[in-house]
Amino acid sequence: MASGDTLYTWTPYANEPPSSNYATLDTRNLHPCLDFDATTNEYAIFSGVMPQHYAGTTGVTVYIHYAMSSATADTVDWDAEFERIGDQQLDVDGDSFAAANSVDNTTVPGTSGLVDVVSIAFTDGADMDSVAAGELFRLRISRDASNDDAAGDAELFAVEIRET
Amino acid sequence: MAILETTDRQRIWRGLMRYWSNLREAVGGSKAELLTTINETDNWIDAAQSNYLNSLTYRESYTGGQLTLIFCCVACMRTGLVALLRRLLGVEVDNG
Repeated sequence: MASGDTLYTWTPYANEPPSSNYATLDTRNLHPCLDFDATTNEYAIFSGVMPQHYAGTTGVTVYIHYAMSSATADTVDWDAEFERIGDQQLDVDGDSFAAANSVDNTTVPGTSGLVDVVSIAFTDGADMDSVAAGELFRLRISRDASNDDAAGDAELFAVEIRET
Repeated sequence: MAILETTDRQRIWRGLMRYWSNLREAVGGSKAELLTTINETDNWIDAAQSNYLNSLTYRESYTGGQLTLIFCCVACMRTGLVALLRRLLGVEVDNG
């Protein structure tokens, strides 16, 4: 697979929310979105099987499509973490996400409702919890509300993974 | 009446951001700026409340809660927050 080709896309209805501090399902003009709070770090989790055409060499880049509910200035921070479930790799009774990678201090669109796209790169291997082609995995997305400064909710509309 | 506790100011802070998010109302200030504004508003009320009360001829006729409601309602009407006022007072706010 070539660099830049899509490996996966998820929209809000694919979210498998954690038991607490979950992003809240909402709609905006009938577009489904997940609301991430401005003061509490909240999470959305998406699962999938890494496509067989993932080359496993250059890693992946996660693209986050978001808008702000009300903020028209200041910045937002996003984190992403991979969890390899694999073939007898992880007892799913517990979570095992690798360390988060981030895209920080992104100035939000000047118009609330404009969807911005930000990206977070992961190198192949431990950075993405060593997820390999054909393996079940989860991707956890969170807004780092503790450290960003834009007011109000951030709305997640879609997540895409591309081969880096 | 003393200034609000920090946690109470933060309740207002979180609540306002939730309110504006639900309305999808554009907000140009950061989280920190909003909290500062809330803090300064509370400080101003604390400093100005005596002057306000002394300016009211019939202040003895009302409880503290009623005077606070009067203040909030007048402020809402002055700034065009009629929808908010309607939720509080009903359709009377629409009658001329």
